[in-house]
Amino acid sequence: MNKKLCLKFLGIRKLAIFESIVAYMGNAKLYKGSLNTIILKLLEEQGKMYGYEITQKVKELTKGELQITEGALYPALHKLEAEGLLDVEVTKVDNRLRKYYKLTEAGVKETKNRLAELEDFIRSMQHLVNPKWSID
Amino acid sequence: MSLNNDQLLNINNYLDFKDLYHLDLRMEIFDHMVESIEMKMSMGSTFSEAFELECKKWNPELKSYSSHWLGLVHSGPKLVMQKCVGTIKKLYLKSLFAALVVAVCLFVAESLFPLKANPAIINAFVGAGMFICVFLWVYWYIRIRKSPKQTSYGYFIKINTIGSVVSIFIFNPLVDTTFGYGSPISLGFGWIFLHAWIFVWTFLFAKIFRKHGATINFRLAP
Repeated sequence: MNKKLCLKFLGIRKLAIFESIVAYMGNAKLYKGSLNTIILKLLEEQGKMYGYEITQKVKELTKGELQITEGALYPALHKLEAEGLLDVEVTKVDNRLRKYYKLTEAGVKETKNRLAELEDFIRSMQHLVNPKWSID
Repeated sequence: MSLNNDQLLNINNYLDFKDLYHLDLRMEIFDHMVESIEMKMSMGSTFSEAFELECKKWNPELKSYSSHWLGLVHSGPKLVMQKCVGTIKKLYLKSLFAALVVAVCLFVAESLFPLKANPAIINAFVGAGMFICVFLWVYWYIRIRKSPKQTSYGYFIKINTIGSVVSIFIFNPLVDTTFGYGSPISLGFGWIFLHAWIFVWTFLFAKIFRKHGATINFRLAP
């Protein structure tokens, strides 16, 4: 997994902090726990996106080092939709239907909350595992 | 590079083979597969190579899957079944919590201001309400069965219909008076909770039926 993932998506400014957290939690768990936040953050930036576009955007931003699998992406999107954080819009593209996801009002608020929570978590972890580093 | 009709038909056949006929999921997976194959072809792969790779990628997500949450007799593509499992867990939690709140409120209110109505009248109201619930379930089931378009929401309602209708029918105080208020084995709070849960359960499924309707009658965005 690309260690710069959180730097890109989640606003972490020190790679070493992320490395410490990864060492503590393990890549898979950290990634799994961050997937919903990554999706929300991307939609906040892009406005609306479809499934394939999300996987490609993540791949592009991480230079191919992180690939969101379909088996993880779609259940996450459906869960966020069921929670009322995402809205769906269907358009016709090249004679086929395309399902776009975009943030609802609740989704916009939740994105801010989750990013703030994540930043707090990272700050706490940083104090625990490597007190000399700071994200400020 | 756009795929031709035969190539699109190959993808559709693959999704048919995997029993993915649920409109809400099929449209996005079809689009995903087409985009991904087009991308691979633009980088030099042939359609056959790209299609094979794409099928390998999707096979684990579309393999036949069942869960004890939905009943092991029901199986379908993993992606669909996992969505249903997530929904039913949430429904159990929501319905049990809501029924508990309603039951506590009614129980406390009844304790403070004892209802002097004849238990037969209460049973008639509750029983009539439960017949309406049965009617709604049967109506949803027929509408979904008759619709040429299927969705994961419709599928979810279909697999829950028999269990729900039987339970609602069995616990109807007009069908069996032992389940009525004021009967010798009446459990008071327990029966209030049970009947409240049945009404909440049906109400939550009404929302799912609305989602099914919204999915099959979607409007294309400009």
